[in-house]
Amino acid sequence: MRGVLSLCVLRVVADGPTYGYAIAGRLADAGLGSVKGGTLYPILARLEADGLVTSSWEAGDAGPGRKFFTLTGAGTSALGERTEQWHAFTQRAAALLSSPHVPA
Amino acid sequence: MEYRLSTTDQGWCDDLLLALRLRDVPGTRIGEVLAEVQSHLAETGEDPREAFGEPGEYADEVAEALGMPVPVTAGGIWRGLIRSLTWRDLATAVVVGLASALLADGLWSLGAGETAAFGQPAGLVTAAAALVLAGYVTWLVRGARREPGDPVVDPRTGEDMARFPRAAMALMVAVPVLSLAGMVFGGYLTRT
Repeated sequence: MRGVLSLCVLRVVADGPTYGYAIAGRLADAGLGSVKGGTLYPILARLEADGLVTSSWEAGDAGPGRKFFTLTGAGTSALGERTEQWHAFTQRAAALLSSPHVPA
Repeated sequence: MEYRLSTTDQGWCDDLLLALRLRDVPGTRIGEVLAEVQSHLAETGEDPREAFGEPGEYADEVAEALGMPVPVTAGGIWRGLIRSLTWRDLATAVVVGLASALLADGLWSLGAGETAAFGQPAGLVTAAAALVLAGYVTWLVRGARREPGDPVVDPRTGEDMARFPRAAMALMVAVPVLSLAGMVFGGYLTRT
């Protein structure tokens, strides 16, 4: 499931530079439940280590600042590739699950 | 940029810093993680334990995300610290402990005007012990200077997030100096 979550995070970041709390909000709005900070930030760190996103800190008005994540070129192609893989996988899984029962 | 966490949140962050250090996560990365946590907590008003779990568990997650080797900290922070000790550390502790005891004894005897440990002249014992300790301190300071360390750098300001406070430094110097002065004075009081 974490792989899918990572893909969804990549998709959210593809909409333009965004930060942790806003990403969690988008995932929750999409019906994926509340993703905890302890899950989300390691996913972002992994994406950044893989060169799929970059990050930069922006000063906040009164708060401790926000870390904005931006999709890279490699991130764009990875997003396309992994989305396709995901669609292929779900179609096959759906086909299997809805196949008629054949008594042995 | 001046933003302060509550005392309990700061305590959680301090535990996380130590846990990440024990997992050999680079200082700049620790700074990033701490800044992320601060930013997240300020944004959501959540409890750090609620959002990130136990410091040790979150440190494991971070280390794993970085592809770091599996930590040898099973059994908690103290186990990890004890495991990282070498025989050289223990030998150094014994030598420094003995030298400190002899220095205290020498100073006390100087104050009292008597001979010191092993019936040796107080001045000689004091000088020998002080020499050993001075050598140790020099070695320690030179080692610390040679390796600038791996500071926990705040990604927002470039500042060191885990600075050694001046008050702690003053305390570290003042306590032994005052204790040693007390030894001379204590010895002097025994004179009749």
